Amino acid sequence: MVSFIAQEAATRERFLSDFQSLDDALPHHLKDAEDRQIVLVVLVDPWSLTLENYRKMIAPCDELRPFCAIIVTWNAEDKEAESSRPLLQVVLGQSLPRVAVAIRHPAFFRDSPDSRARLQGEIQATVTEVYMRMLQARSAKLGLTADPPPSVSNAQGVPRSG
Amino acid sequence: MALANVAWVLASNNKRVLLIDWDLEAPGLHKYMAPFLQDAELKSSDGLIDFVIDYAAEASRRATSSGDLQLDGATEEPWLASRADPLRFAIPVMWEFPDGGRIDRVPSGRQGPSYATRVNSFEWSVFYERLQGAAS
Repeated sequence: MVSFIAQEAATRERFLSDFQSLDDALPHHLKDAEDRQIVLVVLVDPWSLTLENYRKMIAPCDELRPFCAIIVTWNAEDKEAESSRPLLQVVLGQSLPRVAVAIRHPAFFRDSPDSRARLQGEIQATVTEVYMRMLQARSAKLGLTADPPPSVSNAQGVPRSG
Repeated sequence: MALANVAWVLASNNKRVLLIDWDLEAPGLHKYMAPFLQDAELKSSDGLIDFVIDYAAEASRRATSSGDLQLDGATEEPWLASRADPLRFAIPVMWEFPDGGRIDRVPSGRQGPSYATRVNSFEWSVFYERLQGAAS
């Protein structure tokens, strides 16, 4: 189900998508995405992280990479998941301590979607955000930097009063 | 509204008009043409911001390691001809004007969850100063 939502979201953003299930090949997918400049969005079901095998598999994602972002999928209609959410948040933090706890920046990690519509919107926004970040990284790597745009207000840097 | 009206008057007087919505922060030109558009809410219509991102992505891919995009003598390259043509994103206004008049429109960009990201993340200074984004 989630894969269909993700693929629809990618299509709406004009991306070709490929779905990979989580397995031991994740480090290979990460390397491949970096080498080929592919946007990689990792969708995490918090329930899966209660299993040690999955926690080990997801561990390589716990780093900041320009081409990668993580989205945790919740289901507000699942009463058991909602009642267990505090516990699942702990497990999530233990599984992804850097990305989900220490940094927890929306550019790399999101855990707000709890409905199909919100999940699709978050995936759309994330895919594009990662893509734009990759373009900026490519520009920086090539030295394609330019002067910052001029500020039109408070150009002298005078502290604001009040 | 004035721009939309002028476009309509020109088209009614046999002119071909291209409207480009450069107001990326608050696009609204499409609203005045809404009854004559297939995608009045711009949910699936790519536009100006998609055009410049598409160009910048390809241009930066072709830039040399020194960071320069060499276009001397390359103006007839297929990639440039296609990527630098905003008419790819032009959408006709569905109205029959007399004697060949018509309005085409390049909207600001596809509206949706990623629109703000595309607008806010795009590096205009790199586009203009390093990727030959300015018309010459």
